[in-house]
Amino acid sequence: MIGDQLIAMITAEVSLDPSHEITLETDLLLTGLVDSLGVVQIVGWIEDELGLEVDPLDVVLDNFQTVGQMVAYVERQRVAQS
Amino acid sequence: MQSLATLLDTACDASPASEAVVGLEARTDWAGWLTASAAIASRLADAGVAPGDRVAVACLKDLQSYVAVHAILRAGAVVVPIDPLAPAAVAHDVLIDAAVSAVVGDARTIDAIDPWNVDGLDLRAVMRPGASSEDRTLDWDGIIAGGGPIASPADVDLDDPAYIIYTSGSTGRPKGIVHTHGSALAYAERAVATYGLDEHDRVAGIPPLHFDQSTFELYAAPLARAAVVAVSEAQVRFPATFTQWSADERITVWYSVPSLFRQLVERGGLEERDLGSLRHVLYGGEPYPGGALADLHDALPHVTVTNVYGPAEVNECTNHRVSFPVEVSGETPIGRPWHGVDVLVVDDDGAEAPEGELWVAGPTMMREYWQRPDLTARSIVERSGRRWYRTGDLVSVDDDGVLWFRGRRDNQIKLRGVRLELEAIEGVVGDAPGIAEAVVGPDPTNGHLEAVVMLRDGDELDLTAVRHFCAERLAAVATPRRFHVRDRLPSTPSGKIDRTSVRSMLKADEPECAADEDTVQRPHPQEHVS
Repeated sequence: MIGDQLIAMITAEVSLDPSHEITLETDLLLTGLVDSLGVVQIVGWIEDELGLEVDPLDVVLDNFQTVGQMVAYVERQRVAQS
Repeated sequence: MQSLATLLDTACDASPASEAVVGLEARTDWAGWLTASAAIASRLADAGVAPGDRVAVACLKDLQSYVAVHAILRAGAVVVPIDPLAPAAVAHDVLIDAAVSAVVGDARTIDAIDPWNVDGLDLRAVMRPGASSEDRTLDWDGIIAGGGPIASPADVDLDDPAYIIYTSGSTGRPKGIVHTHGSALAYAERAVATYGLDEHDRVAGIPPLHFDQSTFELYAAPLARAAVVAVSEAQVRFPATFTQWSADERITVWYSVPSLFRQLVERGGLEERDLGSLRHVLYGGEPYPGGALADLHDALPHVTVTNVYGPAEVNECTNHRVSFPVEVSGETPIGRPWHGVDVLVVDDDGAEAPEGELWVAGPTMMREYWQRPDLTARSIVERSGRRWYRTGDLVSVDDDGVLWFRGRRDNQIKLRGVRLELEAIEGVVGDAPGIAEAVVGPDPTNGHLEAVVMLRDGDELDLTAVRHFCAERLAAVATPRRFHVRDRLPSTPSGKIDRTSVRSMLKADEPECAADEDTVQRPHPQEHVS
């Protein structure tokens, strides 16, 4: 669910090539689809649309390399921040 | 004779077992760096790569980057770094222009570029880790594991080409800046002396190899026997990961662009990191606004900060050590020339003046543009028996002889430290589906490009198709993030599109030049990012 939303948002607003299909496993960095500006956009979307606080120390490769990792991070934060 | 090809031998003679390169997963000492480079160099020579041949390096930052560059130099060949994250078409243009005879790199980038299938290349070798024995591509890991005797480095002259850094030319044809063993060593010697590099230093390898700041870690660090710590492309995008790496690896020097350092200050969690080892931050490639510079100093008060200036054609030529506190609204000068470099400030009539174009002469200057005598003749001029590089940068000199950057003579801009020729980008965007004319310029509020476009008659803007078209042809930094559609664009009295006035509207963030405006935009954050 959040994964679908993230994929739709990243494809439409962040991806440098919107014709490139993104899945939960797509490596967003080494495909070149998301640059540093894109990372900031994704973090902003999670904060604004999901109402979660994202600690700068959490914005690391392990949490943001794929949409699947972002979903896992969001789920953990929802539990932690509820 | 000392050249770039002998740097590792000299360092290894002095301290073979000291740490030399830290990769993302493996590390090596000077003996290991030398041995691996020598094995690759011998294999390149066996494959038919001759001294003077160009060899491309196509890899993400890691231990392999450093072995590859010094292997190519050891073979007497010329290093041609490729942007591993650029579209394959951009990489192919460089391979063809440089007429490379071999390509070495990581598995991912070699597969993406697919060098054997680039028309017009006479390739002797392609090397990557994990190549299978049925493939004609050679297995990088197998060559290094095979070892063998260490052959002496090729005997090169200081005037022989050592590396070629490519920038986008104004016509879209890539332009290769040829540096020699002599010009690179002259840079390395000055960098070691100016920044006090020694064997206790651990230099962050932040810039990608195709960016000329990387000459600091590639050549100055080995000259001083300082260790190099590779920084991955992912770490550059995730500041908190990089700052942790910097603390863990006790890095002493950072050299990169202000947009990266601003991210580190804003999102790197610096207050949580022990960066006591860090002693010097070198920045270059673009101005650092006073307020942000003050923030950097607040976050890292123990660190010396230097503004480094110099187009890739002359590498570094001036520097300015920032003295804090800085004025929040103030500018920082580009400083004074370093040892052995002379500058002239020349007005439109060619006379020396307090404000004008900066000309530079000195031993760190490039030899030429690769196979472009026309461009070379336009950029390097003789005066008083010396060769001067005309930078195209406008500067002023104050009463103390300190230089201040004032802008460009042409439409070249720098974004996140990368030189962009706006006409070349406009040529690409103007060919995108449905687009008749495009004007491109930077939006100063967020550090990325925007385009104002006029559509072909009857066409509508298919944003997905346009962005796909651009993504296949332009590097990320050169890709416009917003497209403003206009029915018509303002013209000059001669009937040409008035690009200057359109760009100044983009600068003002009010690109209104027709009543029926239809702006298609991607939301963008207010934060400044690289």
